[in-house]
Amino acid sequence: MNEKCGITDETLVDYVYDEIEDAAKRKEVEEHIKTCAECGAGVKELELVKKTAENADVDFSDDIWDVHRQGVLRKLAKKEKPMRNFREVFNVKTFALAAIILLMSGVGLQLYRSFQATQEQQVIADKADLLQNIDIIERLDFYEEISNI
Amino acid sequence: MKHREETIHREDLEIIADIKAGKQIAVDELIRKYQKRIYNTAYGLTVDYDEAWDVSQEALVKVIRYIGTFRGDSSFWTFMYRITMNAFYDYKRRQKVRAKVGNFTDYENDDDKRAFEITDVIDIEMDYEQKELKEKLKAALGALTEVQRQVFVLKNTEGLKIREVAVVLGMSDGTVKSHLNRAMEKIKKTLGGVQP
Ligand SMILES: [Zn+2]
Repeated sequence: MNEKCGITDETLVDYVYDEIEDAAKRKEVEEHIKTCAECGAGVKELELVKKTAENADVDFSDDIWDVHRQGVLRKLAKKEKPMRNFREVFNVKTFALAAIILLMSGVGLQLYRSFQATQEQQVIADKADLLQNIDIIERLDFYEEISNI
Repeated sequence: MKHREETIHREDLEIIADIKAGKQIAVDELIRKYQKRIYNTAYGLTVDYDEAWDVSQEALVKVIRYIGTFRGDSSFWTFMYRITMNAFYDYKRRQKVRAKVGNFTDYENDDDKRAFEITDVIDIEMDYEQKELKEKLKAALGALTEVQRQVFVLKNTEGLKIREVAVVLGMSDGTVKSHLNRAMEKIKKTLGGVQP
């Protein structure tokens, strides 16, 4: 916002979220917004956004949350139903889709793997693997539903 | 409101162990403990009360079903957040297929016989100005890109640091910052007319 005083919007966002790690720099910004009307107003606006968003949590009364919880329990019970018979579950369509999905996610995973270098990325990759697997299982459930219409 | 869970809580570890051991009461405990937070995360993704209801329920189902895959090497919240995101994408995919094929199945739906409209039961005990701000915020959130919204919600509702948002979303700090800055800019403009 304010190129003439050398303070960028990004710096003000960092300031509002207390993400300026350099103490001298933080102090400098703090002093600056006291004297610069434009940056001072900018900080006020950002603080309003932050405060509104922080207090925007949706809440219900306990009995409504209870309905929500019961719904989760019902869905859990439904998903735990026994497998259908072999022919229904392992039909050709499902297999073809499963093969395509596995192939595609394999390629995606390879690409992803080739980009990772650091230890931290390895951790993220592990999580991605997990999610890929969840995804495949879920999609199989879903395609199974479709193929049984 | 500030959740900030970098490390896994002992209490969570006990709940997880109990669920793995098949104790139904622990399932209940986990839902009670996290349903509000997951609902609000889902709301941040969908910006829709009803969709958030369904997505958060799906997410909780998945968290419980896949709890065996949680090894305790990341924060439990990160695990749940990613599953919630996954449930959200899944929900959107299903919606698209439904739109194309028509409502051919009651897949996961009408399961939850809700005898009320969510907008009628939300706790609203705030003054007019606050209400106006929240409504504007909702509209502004809807106008963000999906990734901007994710970053914004993790930063504000969850109160995570840039570095933590980067880990949860698997992005660099710089990318998170640029999404956050754009989101703040857009929302600032929308809230602009309202005085605090
Ligand atoms: Zn200035």
